[in-house]
Amino acid sequence: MRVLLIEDNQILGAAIRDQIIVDGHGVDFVSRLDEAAEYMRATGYDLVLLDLMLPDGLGLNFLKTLRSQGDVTPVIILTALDQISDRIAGLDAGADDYMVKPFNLFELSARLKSVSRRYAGNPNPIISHGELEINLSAKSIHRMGKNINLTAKEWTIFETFIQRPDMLFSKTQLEDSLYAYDREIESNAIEVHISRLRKKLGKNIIRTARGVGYRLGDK
Amino acid sequence: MNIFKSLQWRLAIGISVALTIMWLFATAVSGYFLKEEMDEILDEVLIEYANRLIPLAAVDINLLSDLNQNIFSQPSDDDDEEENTQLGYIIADKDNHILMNTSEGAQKLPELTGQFFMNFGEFRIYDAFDDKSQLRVTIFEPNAHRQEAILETVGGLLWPLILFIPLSLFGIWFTILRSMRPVLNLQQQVDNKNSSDLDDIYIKNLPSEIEPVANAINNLLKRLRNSLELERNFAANSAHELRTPLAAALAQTQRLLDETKNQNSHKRAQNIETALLRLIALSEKLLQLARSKSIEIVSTNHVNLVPLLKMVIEDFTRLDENKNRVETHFDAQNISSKVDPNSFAILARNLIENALKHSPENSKILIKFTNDQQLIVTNECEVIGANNLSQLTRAFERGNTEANGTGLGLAIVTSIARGLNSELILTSPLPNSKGGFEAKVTLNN
Repeated sequence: MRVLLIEDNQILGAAIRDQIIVDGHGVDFVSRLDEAAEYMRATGYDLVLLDLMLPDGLGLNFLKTLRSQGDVTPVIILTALDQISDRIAGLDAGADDYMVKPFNLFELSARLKSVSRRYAGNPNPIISHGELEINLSAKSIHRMGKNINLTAKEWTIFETFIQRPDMLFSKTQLEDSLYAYDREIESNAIEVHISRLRKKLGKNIIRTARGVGYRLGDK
Repeated sequence: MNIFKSLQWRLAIGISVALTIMWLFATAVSGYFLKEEMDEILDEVLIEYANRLIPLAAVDINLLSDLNQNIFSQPSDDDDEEENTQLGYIIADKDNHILMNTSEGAQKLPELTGQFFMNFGEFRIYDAFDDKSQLRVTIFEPNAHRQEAILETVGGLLWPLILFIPLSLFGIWFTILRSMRPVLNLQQQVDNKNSSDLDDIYIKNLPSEIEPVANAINNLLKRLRNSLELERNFAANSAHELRTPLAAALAQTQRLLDETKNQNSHKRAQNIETALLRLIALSEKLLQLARSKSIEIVSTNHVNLVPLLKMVIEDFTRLDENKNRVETHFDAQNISSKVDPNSFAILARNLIENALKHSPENSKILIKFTNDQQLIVTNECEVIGANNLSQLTRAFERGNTEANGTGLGLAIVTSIARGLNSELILTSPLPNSKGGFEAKVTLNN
């Protein structure tokens, strides 16, 4: 998952960014709304973490503009505005969740996953795919009760597929999901990781659409 | 109200007494000038009487002298009764031999020599000598005549006072009562002011003397609004300015905890996290307490509080440790009130937090919200004594508990309840139970 973090406090932002990376997601960290708009124009994000009081404007207006343009990217508001009326205004503007500072980073990770799952159309963290039982919260996969270990990068790619089982992903989109690990991704990295996933989970787990990309295989 | 302290009473009595004194003074002055005028007129009458009497007396004396008769005129017995009420006279020759005398009173008269007026005993005397007839005439008039006339006139002026005093008292009372009505209205308006209503008071139709007072009150209200606004802004800004650095410190500490493998460093980071969490909880409660004393707790609009309450409850039940601990009972899905939503959320949050913190792990708490706007939160616990119960609403009072609280939660609830003209009612033990605790706030007081 690729996340855009918009937070003007560098110390807080750095800690959140590190947590998101540890959780296995890619993250871009900006401190201004104009930067955020540029980033969003350049790349598609799976989730936006949005502070409300920013140096160049209110995050709430940014969110309203986003929604009015038809952008449905999930947004979690991270703010020091703790009143219930602020929260209602945030949710009414189109936020998917609202967290009041200071918050527990692990709570943020949980909310991030929860929102992400909700958008994938499957709010349940435990899902089945053929013989595989996948726990998205615990990042674990079992086949017939036997645990299958994946590396962090393999998990990230597999999670991308499992959350949108019907979607076809281009190589670039899959590379974006690995952005958290390496800024410079080798040209054949995606092919290598998909090959390993097929070895561990079954050769039909991921199908190749020649010249277009990859999609999750049938159950 | 003590009537003797009443401004109406004091004004009515004061003005009545002043008017009475002025009336009496005016009567006395009138009496004095009346006496002066009457003396002048009646003295002229005495002179006129003497002037007419002397020629007649001269004729009589000459005639009687020619007849060689006694010219003395002795007063009759009947004269005794009228002696003090009628004019009398004495005619004497130039040697002061009395030739005619109409009254025994003449015996009492002093020796008179010349033309003048004088008061002697009960009489007003006019004494004159006529050069032509060589006779001397002395007219005397009882003073009682004049005194009676003056007393009757002055008495006539005093009689209306008997009617005038109660009438003026009533009139003044009634006028003051009518005049005080705008003042009472002003007092009522000022009395109705509270932290939720600091709008200007209505000053139209106020008497011009009271208008400056009302303007001064409005200026005071304006200053109060400004200072409350500053306080609110301070609380809001403090929240933002405090929360962000605290969030940064907590987040960095949690990252450190996650990354540190060394046990000692890990333990140290845990201690920092614990201290930070305590600091965060305390600063949040202090800000809530400050807000509860400065914000407008009564809203102008009705708000359905049920969704807000659900939102607050969800904040607690989201956490794993509280997931199955909260039971709710709402009389309806729409319970509206004119309570400020933010104040209600703070109130509900503190009641729920208090119940969760001070009840056994995994025990249930019950949140009831009734149609008559009573928010009731009950939890299991040991019995809390009446003395301890009354202290729980004070700031930094924790009661007999090991739970890790700030001791401010119920003080915040009490402060908000006061803003609603209500109160926080605490009960322990619960009815028909050996323990338990109930906190109840009625929002529509």
